[in-house]
Formats: sequence, structure tokens, C-alpha cells
Amino acid sequence: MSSIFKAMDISSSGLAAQRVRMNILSSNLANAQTTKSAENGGGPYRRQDVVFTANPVGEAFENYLDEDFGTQMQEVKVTEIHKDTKEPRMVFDPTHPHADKDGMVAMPNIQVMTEMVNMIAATRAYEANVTAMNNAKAMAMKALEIGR
Amino acid sequence: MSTSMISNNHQAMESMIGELRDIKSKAESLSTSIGEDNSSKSSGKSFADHMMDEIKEVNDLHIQSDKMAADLATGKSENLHETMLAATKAEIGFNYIVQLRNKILDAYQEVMRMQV
Repeated sequence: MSSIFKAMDISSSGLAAQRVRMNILSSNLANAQTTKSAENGGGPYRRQDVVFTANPVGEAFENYLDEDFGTQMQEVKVTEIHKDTKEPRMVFDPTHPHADKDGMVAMPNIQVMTEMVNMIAATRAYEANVTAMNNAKAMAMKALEIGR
Repeated sequence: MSTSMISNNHQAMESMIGELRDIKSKAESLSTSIGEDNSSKSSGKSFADHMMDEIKEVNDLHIQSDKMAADLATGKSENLHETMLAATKAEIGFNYIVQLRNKILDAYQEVMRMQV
């Protein structure tokens, strides 16, 4: 029974990963103008990015039983949320409370366009995983029609 | 899938288990009446037992799906897609059991229709 659901479990890991990505992208967009953060010594917000890693699906012993195929099936996991190390964007604004003595304000180095494009990509990837899951379900349902 | 639908499935499954018990007892009474010794039963699980295991497995899927739906509704978890996945798994499992039941009933009726 569980082998029917394996494809769906893998798609589920993809959905979870894309949702984390979406959350991080939202965070980037929401903080595109944030000049102060709790981290990195109160400097501007730093752009974040998710790092995906492929993980063999199921338990190690199960992989043994599945022989060669067990290790071929890999689910995706978010293993790291990478902080951008790019220098902050300096903007001249002497009236800003966080301006330095030259009147320059350190703004986050976030391109809103890039974030939007990434967001579309995340949405599409999510949709693709849902489609894969629905197709896996359709296959299982089709199998139940055998001999009817 | 709504919780009420899942509990409906539970009821359907309960009645199905009852039906299968019925069939099992009928089959057993038939086999004893024709004087077959039940030594094969002690050697391993009977077909009905296997069937019951299968039903229990699917019932577990339903219980899991039920629990996840309740957790999502009460805000205990935020796993929207995993809840949907559990519901889908329960749906497939339930369909599987229904098909299995149809097959068994077909076979049973075929045997009952046999000319003696």
C-alpha cells in the first residue's frame, strides 16, 4: 500500500519546500525597505534564500529492501536559509533617523522585481507538485478499475 | 474532505467489517458442514484475517486523516497540504477496500450459485 503513496509523499515534500520558499520570499518583499533588524548588529534587513537538498525517501532499511530503486527516489528538504552577504544599498536621505553622519542610509539590497519573479516560480513549482500528486492519485484510482 | 464525510466513511467501514464477519462465519459453517477439517487454519492466517488486516490499515488512514483535519480546524497544526494528502490517501484506501469487497462478494455469490 505504501508504495502507491510514495510518489505522493515525495510531492508533499516538494509542496512543503515551496511553501517555505514562499514564506522566505514574502519576508524579503515585506522587508525591502527595512533599515533596522535585530540581527547583524542592527543593520538593514538582509535578503534570504532557501537551499534545497535532495534526501533519499523513506528509512534506510526500506531503501535496502527496494534494492537499487530506493536510493533513486529522493524527496526535497530545505536544509538551509542562506543570508545574502551583498553590501547594503546606500541611499542619500539625511532626514532618515538611521542616516549616518554623511546623510547616507543603508537599505536592504533587495530587487523587488527579482523577488516577484522568484515568487511566480515558487507558485508554478507548487502547482507542478500538486499536478504530480493528482496524477499519482489518478493512477491509483485507475488501477482500482482493473477487472471491473 | 469534511470531517462528517470521514466519519461517514468510518460507519461504512464498520458495516463492511460486519458484512465480512458474516461472510466469514457463513463460509466457516459451510466448511464444517461438509466435514472439512480446519487444520489449515492453524498453519497460518486465513484469507478473512488478511482482509481484516487490510481494512484495519485503511481504517488507520481514515483515523489519521480525521485527526489531521481536526488539528487543522482547531489550529493545532498548519499543515494544509499534508491534511489534504492524508484525506486523499484515505480516499484511495477506501476505494481499494470497496473494490476488494466487491470482488469477494462476486466470488462468494459465484460459489453460492454453483449447481450441486
